Amino acid sequence: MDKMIFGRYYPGNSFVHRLDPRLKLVVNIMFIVLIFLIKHWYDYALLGGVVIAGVLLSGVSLKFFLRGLRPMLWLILFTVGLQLFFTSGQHVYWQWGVLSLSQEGLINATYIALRFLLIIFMSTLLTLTTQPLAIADGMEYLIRPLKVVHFPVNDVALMLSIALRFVPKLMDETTKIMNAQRARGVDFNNGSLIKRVKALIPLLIPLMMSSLDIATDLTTAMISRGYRDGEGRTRYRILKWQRADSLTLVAFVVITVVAII
Amino acid sequence: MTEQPIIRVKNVTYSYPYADKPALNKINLTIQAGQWVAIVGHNGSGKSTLAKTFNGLIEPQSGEIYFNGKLLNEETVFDVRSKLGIVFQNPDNQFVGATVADDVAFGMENNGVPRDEMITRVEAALRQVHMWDYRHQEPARLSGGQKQRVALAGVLAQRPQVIILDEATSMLDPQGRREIINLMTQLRQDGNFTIISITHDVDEAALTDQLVVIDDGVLVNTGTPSELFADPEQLHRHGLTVPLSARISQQLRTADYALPDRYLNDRQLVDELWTLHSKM
Repeated sequence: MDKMIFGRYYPGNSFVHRLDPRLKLVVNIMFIVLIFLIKHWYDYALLGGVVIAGVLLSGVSLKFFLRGLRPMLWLILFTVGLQLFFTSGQHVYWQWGVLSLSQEGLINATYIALRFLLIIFMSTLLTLTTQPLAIADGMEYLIRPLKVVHFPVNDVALMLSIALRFVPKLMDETTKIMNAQRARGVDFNNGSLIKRVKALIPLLIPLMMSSLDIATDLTTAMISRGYRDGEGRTRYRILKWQRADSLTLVAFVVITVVAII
Repeated sequence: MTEQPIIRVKNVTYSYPYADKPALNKINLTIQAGQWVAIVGHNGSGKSTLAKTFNGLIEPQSGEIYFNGKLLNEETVFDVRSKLGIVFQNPDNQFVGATVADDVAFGMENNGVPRDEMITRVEAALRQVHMWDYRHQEPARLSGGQKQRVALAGVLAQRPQVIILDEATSMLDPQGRREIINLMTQLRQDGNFTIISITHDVDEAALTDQLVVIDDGVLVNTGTPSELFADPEQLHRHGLTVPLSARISQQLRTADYALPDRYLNDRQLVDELWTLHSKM
């Protein structure tokens, strides 16, 4: 689990760390849409500049971003390869059967690679610099308009925050049960595929039962602390929109407009 | 200490679905405001079930419960829940918030306390249990005793009249247990609360004003700890132990040492032994 960089938080107090999570979420979504809209090399250069600026401002070492890239590397190489050899064009440099290397293919492949790189860097920037809880708060704020169509925003927000809070607890529980079953002779790592899947049963059933226990206890505790439903509650944690956030948003909108024109 | 019942239980009976005998059988009990009461009994005797009827988590099939003179029903239940806080047994499973401060605020959020007020109350409650320095921590990084202190802070922040500890120390190590018990002793001295502990721990029970003994859903005895510990045989019959000092004095009495026939705490036992020693 230690190798998973994607979705990890890297504590810090940089400019990017302090930005509002709502802003970071919105900018991320806009960025991804934008990446698919642009067509020219100078647009890529512009967005590349944005990402580099973000990485520099976050104060997180480049190492972490590169590690976030690692699990996606084969996917990138595969897609780039497809683009490279299967795009037909006018300026063909080399041909062998259906495989051809053309100028258009080369350009397409570069663009695809750049798209991957930029999107992964940008989303890693979001998760590395924002606490999971802040992301949940940001998402809650962003889905709030859905209340109009009777979407249970409060419930979803509470679910999200409880889920996040119990992730480490359930991980611990899993390790504990695995070790307990290992001590009783269960082998999780060897044997055929079917054998291994079967070995998971003594892990999954106790884990599920213990989740039910936790759920019962947690509901009891929540009810006895006066929880009714999402309505009529006040909030302890609030998000604060600051000047830096407005400035960043304006800057990003300007960049978007420039890139689209 | 005012002599006015804060909780009155009248003839309460409750059975769990599919159970062949009732978990609570015609319980009558009065708890005075400002007292520290311990409900004791062996496993499955109905202690926790009884505590859960106090704030409507469990609705008895017959009988009535009065809180501050008011009958507990669907209209009053949320009012009662804001004035009666429970700290449960498992420190992990009752931690709702993502951080310490969030968890303490949860109850107040439910009751619609304005944010400015919440901020001051969270700080006050966390300082009271000595957890203020940990306010931004996540539960995964706290020890069991610390989590129970946070749970207690969550209860305190609601400014309750009654605090119930439902075996709140049973999953803690000796040090964590001592910390919680010390906090409770301190709260008792501040004097604004009625404290009800449900416990197996005889040392905790010995600190209280009143003991309530429950066996198989029936209330068998109530009295001060010194009254009840004076008769270890009766407690043994209901599957309970007595403090070490009571056991030692009993052994000494059977060995014909002339000890007085009442419960002696550690201090008193040592004094009595010195008196005996000087007479020899």
